Amino acid sequence: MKRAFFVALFVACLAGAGQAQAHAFLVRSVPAVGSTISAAPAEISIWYTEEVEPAFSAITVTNAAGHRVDQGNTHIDPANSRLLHVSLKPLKPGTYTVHWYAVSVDTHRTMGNFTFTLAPSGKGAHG
Amino acid sequence: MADALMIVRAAYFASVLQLFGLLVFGAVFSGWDNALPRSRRIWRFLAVLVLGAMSVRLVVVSAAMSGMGVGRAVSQGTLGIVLAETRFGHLWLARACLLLGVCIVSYMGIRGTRLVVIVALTLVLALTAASGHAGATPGPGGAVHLAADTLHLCAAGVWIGGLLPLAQKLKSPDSLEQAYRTARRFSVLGSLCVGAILVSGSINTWFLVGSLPALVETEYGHVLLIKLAVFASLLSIACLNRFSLTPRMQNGATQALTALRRNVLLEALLGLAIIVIVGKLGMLPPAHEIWTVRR
Repeated sequence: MKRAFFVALFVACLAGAGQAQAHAFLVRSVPAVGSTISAAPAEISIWYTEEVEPAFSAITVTNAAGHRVDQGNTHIDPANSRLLHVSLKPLKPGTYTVHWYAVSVDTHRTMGNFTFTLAPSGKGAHG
Repeated sequence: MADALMIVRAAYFASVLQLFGLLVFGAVFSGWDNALPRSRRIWRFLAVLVLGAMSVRLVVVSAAMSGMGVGRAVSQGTLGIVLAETRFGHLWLARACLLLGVCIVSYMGIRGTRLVVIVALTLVLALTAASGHAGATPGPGGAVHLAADTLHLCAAGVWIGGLLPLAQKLKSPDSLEQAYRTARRFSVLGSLCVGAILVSGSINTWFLVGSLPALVETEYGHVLLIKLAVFASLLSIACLNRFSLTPRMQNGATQALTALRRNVLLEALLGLAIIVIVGKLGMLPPAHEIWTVRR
């Protein structure tokens, strides 16, 4: 009975949906969120749930001291408008924070940050 | 900023749907011939209102996209970047051109004006759908979602936007018989619109909600349920008009005409409430998206 009620409610709701606008959320990144890696990456890549506007989206990366280590060249992937890249300067072992903000093609702005750790040579990577 | 965005979205939808509804109402009740100069003045007024709402929305959206305040966004040239480099800006320009065309064509009053303006407004509604989530849905489903959202907007425009012209037409009919025929004809039009809204709303919900848990456990789902409740109220009044008041008018009950006109105005008010809710829905990430991220 309860299930029938919810099914009826859902069917009724089918009539109600209208325009909505999407937000670009992070799907995954390379290096992965919270991961520890053994080789210094040349760039950061972030995949989003929606297509993003490059004019209003960017990725910056800072080291533990708060200094920028990215090249300031955030760009959209030519083959995938849900994917942003930014090149990195040569990294030393340590923990880095990735800050991102993105505007989806339907104009909504989202932002977030995550960290990854570059392990000293010889240490195993995980994540 | 979120409140301002919601208000300007609602103002845009209210004015563009009213214009579309007025045009189709005129075509159904007065034919496809050229409208009177007075009607064309009203079209132009509404088209300018739509352009005004669009312009305010452009400024507020540009500020929101850039993460700056409105003042800084305007002074630092953000509007130009939005118009030149973003999908929203390109679609905005296309809609603005179409609406300017509506103003020019309705001013000239050339033959076939009404049809041209209705086609232009249908394109404006399609571009409006493309500016929203329907335009961001990837793959082959994107075209289906876009078509459904365009149909949803058109049907809502014809029904909700036709209510005020209907109330005006019922205000001083030549006879009760004429008022009855008007009400009957509009109820046929309304029934077609409700059917289209149900079908297109189902498709939209499939793309935007996708599951029952996403409906009942997200803010988008909750706001959608409120919209549904208002929609159900609107439908109930429409059924009362169709199955009770209209037949009574056929039997010569003049008080039924007064009640019908009052109900039509009440429907218009509920339609406006739905438009405000749509303004709010547009600010929220779709339920399926939140649900996917949570999982």
